[in-house]
Amino acid sequence: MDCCHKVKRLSFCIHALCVFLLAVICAPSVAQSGVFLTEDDFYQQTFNSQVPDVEVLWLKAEQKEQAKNILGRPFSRLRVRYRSLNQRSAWILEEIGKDRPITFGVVVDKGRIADISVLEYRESRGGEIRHNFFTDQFLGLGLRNNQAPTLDGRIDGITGATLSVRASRKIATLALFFHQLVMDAKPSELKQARR
Amino acid sequence: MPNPVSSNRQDVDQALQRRIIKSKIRFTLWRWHRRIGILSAIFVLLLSLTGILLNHTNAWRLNQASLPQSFAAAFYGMTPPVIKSTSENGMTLSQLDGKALYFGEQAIGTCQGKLVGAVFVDEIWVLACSNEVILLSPNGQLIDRKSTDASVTNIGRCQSNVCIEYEEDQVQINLDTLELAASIGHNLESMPLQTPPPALEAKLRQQYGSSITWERWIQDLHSGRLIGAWGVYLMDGMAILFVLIALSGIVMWSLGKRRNKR
Repeated sequence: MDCCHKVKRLSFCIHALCVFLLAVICAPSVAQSGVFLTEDDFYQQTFNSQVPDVEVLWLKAEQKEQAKNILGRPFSRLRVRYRSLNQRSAWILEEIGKDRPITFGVVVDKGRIADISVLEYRESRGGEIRHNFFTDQFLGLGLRNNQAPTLDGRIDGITGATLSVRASRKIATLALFFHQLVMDAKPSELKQARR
Repeated sequence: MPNPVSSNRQDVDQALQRRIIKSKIRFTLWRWHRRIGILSAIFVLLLSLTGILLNHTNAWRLNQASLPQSFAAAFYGMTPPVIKSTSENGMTLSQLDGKALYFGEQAIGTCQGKLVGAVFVDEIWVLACSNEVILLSPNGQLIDRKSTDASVTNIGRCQSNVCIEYEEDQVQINLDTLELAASIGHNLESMPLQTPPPALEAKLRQQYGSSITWERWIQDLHSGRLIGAWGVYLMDGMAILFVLIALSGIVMWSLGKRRNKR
């Protein structure tokens, strides 16, 4: 009887361990993708409910070329929409991680990153980049104007999220570049005629 | 006392027995080796040739060369794509199989969902797919794009503006900012989707077949997948036969070597 009891306990333990391992394996992949912040909420929290109107930055050929150098791929759009108030601008940009696009919201204030958020994540893994322990690294970073503009600080990666980390670096750099274009341009050039 | 003569005779008889058995084994192996060889010869040739091709797909650009439409239809059951188009201002915008977008003959990517319609206003093309609005320049360059929360069912001119319709709502699009504002329910002037002109249709169908490359076809031929799941089992069976040929060949060689030594 004692032997049977031990066998039953062992069997129960094995079953419980299997269920636990299954939960541990499945849970992260289920929790990765999702919408974490809507565009409206992003703008609300950026501008403290005084959300400015949408503005448009039209890109010249050489600026598209710089954007291409930052992303490592052609930047297909002729213009980018953003919102800005004083020296603060907010950008919603997308970049592909491994297979699917990641939607980022980036806030730049006086040429430095004030906030970067993952608005929507569509991959099955690598979603750790949305957490503060990663995004806080970007705060205060500016642009180093090389042949291909880069961030002027180092970002530590996350094991298992290399491509997502790379995408976030590119988008942060791109947002800083666009912010610089907006702040450098004369007001009359910002809303030029459509091409 | 054992008789040395009869003892020797027994040894000779036993040796002879062993030689006969080994000969029979060798003969049996040789017979089956030959049968399997004949049976699998054509597969050896096929796998060797496709293997050589697969080793050089980059150099010979097999990963870029497209399979003809007829092959794609025959081997992959690819039905001719459904093409929806809309034309205005001398230009045709098309979508193939609810995916690839074409500006004339030029592929311009994809959009989220099926093409609902397009309008040409103020020197800008405004396309609506089920879940996206796209702006194109007069020569087909992407200006901007924006996802929609709800499914778009119609797009058209509403007085001097552009409006899109969802199931129950109609909204006006600001082409500068892509912001949507409530509209008062205008009658939309939309261009209906139709099949493109025959010449363009033929060119688009030909281009669409290019999603399958020669490399893909050769890989499927090599693995047997070209004829379905049974093709894979057939190739597995052939691989087992190749193993049997190799083993039988080794055993025959080994038996022959020992015989030659004697």
